[in-house]
Amino acid sequence: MIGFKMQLMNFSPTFSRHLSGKLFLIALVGGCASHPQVTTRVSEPFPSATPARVVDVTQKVFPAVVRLDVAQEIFVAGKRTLQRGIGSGFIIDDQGHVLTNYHVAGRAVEINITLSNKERVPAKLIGDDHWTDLAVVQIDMDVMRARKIPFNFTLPGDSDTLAVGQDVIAIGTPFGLARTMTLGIVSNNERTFYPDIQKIDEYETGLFNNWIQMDTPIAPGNSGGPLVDLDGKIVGINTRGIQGQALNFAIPINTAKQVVASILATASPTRAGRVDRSDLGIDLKPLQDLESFYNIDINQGVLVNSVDRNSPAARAGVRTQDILLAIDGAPVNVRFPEEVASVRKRIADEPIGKTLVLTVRRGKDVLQFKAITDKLEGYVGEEKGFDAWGVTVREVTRAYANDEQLDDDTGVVVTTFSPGSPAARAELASGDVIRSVNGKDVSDLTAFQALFTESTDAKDDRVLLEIQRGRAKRSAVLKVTY
Amino acid sequence: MKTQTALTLPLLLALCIPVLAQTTQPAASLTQSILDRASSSLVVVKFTWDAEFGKRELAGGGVVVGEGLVMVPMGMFDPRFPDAQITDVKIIVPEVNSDHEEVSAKFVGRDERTNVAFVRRSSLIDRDFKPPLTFNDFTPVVGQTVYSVGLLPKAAGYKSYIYTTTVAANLRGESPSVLVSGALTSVGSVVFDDQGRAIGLVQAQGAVPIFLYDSRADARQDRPVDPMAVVSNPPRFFTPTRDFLLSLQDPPKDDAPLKLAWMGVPSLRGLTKDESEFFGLVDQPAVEIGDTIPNGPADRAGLKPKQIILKIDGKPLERGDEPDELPGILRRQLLRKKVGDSVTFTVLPGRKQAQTDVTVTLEELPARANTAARFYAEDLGYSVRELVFIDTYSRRLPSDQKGVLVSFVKQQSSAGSAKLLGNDLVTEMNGQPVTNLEQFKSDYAKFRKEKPTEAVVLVVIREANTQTIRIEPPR
Repeated sequence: MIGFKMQLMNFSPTFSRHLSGKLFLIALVGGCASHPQVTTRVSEPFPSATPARVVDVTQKVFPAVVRLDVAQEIFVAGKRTLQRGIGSGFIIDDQGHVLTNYHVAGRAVEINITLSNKERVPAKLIGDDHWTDLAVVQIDMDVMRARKIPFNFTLPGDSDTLAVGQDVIAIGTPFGLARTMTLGIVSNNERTFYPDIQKIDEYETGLFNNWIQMDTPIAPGNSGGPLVDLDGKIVGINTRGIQGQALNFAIPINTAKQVVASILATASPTRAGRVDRSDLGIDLKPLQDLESFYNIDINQGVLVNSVDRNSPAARAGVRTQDILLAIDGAPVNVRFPEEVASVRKRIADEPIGKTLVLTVRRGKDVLQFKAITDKLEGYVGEEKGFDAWGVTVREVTRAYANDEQLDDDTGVVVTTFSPGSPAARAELASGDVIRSVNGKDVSDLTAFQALFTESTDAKDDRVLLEIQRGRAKRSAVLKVTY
Repeated sequence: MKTQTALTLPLLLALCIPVLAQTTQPAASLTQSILDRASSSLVVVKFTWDAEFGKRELAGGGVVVGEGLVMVPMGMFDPRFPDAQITDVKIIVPEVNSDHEEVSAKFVGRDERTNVAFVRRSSLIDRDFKPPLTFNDFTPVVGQTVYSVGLLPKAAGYKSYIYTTTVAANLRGESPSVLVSGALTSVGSVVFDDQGRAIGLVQAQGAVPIFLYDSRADARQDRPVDPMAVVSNPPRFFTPTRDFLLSLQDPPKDDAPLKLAWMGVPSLRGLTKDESEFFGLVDQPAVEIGDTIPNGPADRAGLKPKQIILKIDGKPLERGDEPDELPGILRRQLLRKKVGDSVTFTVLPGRKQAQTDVTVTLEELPARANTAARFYAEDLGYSVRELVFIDTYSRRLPSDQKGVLVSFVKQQSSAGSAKLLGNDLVTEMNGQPVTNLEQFKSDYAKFRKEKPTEAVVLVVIREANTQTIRIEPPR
């Protein structure tokens, strides 16, 4: 997905309702930067893209835009392996932090950055967040200092004030063509793909923000690069597009500001920075055209379309078809699809473990429930490879268990296996949940790791796994050679 | 045995040449007599699959096996065709020198125990109907010459034809089948031995054309279908009589659907050699239980997931050619028992544990989707049907879950635009719980009549979630 692979753009030419499948990620090249000392001009709400102005802005931002060459950790055919790609990014401070897309640099184990002056320096991942498709990496500043490499950084703008029709500039590395500048206009400033959920591989993304849509030409490799207004300020991060259609999408910089702050605040030398979010386990649906059916006033509340099993909302007593009117007394109104993301974000921004009072309309009654927020977990859990058995497995997350209708979130799920390996010969399948090893329960990935180590240390030549496949249990006997 | 064959073969070959010359006449007359005999009992079964998206007329070969009763391979009546959508059934008696005769008939039912289905003549006709053909239970022997007689496609006037071939192998599979060295005539043909005895039926298999006529193939302009495809792509397997004898002895009765036996174990798996050895089993077919239906016959008797079945009624499990086939063989064996029969399973609860016997009393197999009642809401473009057992089981819903299941959504319809999907389980309509199909039908009709311009709001269970679907009627 990071995209410099041509097959990423292999969407079919017709634009159907499966929009999600047709959007490509424009991973990999990019960068934009503006000098810290961008001169702001006389206030002019939407300066026109005169050649002089465009050249001026480009010259300012260019020195902060970088190309990233990244090796990401992926798990294929029973093994951990590296996938290489190219993307864009831009330097955001004097510490050499670079903002880019998750699908460019998330899970990266090796990053090289090429600055606008064509100097190449190593960098490392500081933190990432697939929910917003953002990642922060840091240039190796020791190298920068030792080699006396100059650089610039950008200034963030305010994406909330973007107007449809205003000129914007994209800078990045389309198809590896570094330092490419393109010009276009904002086509829509609150694009949502609701009810489709965008994914990066299997990672959910875009749930908590709307998108800037622009006709600025971008291509795979532009991902992570800046979208710049004509004041030279960053308004978005170029992320997705529909190839050849002048329909491209950027993450608003205001979404990124909060994510960057959280990543930088939580990052440590031993642990990647992250964004923690809260979850109630409900799916929200706009009420447009349903007001009369539910007999409610226009623009009041949001429909609870679905409640996840074992979720905070389910435990609190919230049911599907309830109308959620308020959270902690503050009204939540979602009449249109464009309003869904902000309410999701509102819940996500609550502290984890906080008790929220949910005011709900059910039929003619107005009820109140107290729900304690859980930490938001994605569908994809942590993944590891176990070479001796030829299998890669993932932690079963609550979201995975819910989506796959598992009884609970214990065990690990098989993702890939290598041909001819013990796992392949035992006919394990992707999606199998391993519940026990040699009769000992597997509660999670750590437990599985321990049981694997125990078995391989003992050089067991036969290992009995208990598998859950769909509703059925099955035994699998691994025949291991050392 | 092998040695003997090796010794006698050269001798046979040496003798064969003059013998062949001498027997040309008798062989031809045997072929002719088989062809005459068989074709007098072969008929075409034609029906219309009246689905929501249009009608499709299909015809295939069948054989008269009783008074007005015609047996066809079950593949003709695909189990996915809802029974209620099988209409306008006709038996066509092919004639060479006059028009074919068409007789009204009714679909009697499928016999899942034996993979055949039956239709029965419903109108009385003046002259005698075709005489029944008697099947004989002789196990085909490898090397034996066999003759198949069937009907050519409609494009060739349903003319009967005969092929001669040799039995190449007896295969076990989930059900027994016989591979021949050459070609067999069309699906639904009868296979004879060199004594002129009917010893098998040509079943649908692989990509072999099942039908002698398909109106959809006619309608295809983009990718024309060769109406004579069966000639270039003939069947090569037939089913020996022994596999469907049960149906002939006890054919399904009109208006009395077969009650099939069931033990409530939806998931079984044959153990591989490695796995068997791990559990201490040597050269012994074994089947692992994957899941049991809560409170089903097996569950109540004490069978549990992960137990390994070794014997049925004291006898080791039948072998398959592959471990994958064992569950099918076992399931079929049970299907052939009667509701109320007791079956004793010898099971191994786990490695190094003692085998135990568990006796299960078989119950009736719950209704399946193809017999469920349906309702086509043509105005908004979707169909729903009654819930059957598998619907709640596969969705991990309680077995007493109420609702109806969406079985069809028309493209470009109101329901299609509202993103209602097939397999959505409808639990509420317009704020009222859905209890069953009848109630849904009447409430729906009432609502549409009283408030024709108002949207229908359905709440459905879709995979792990619920969805609220608002179907706007066309203006």
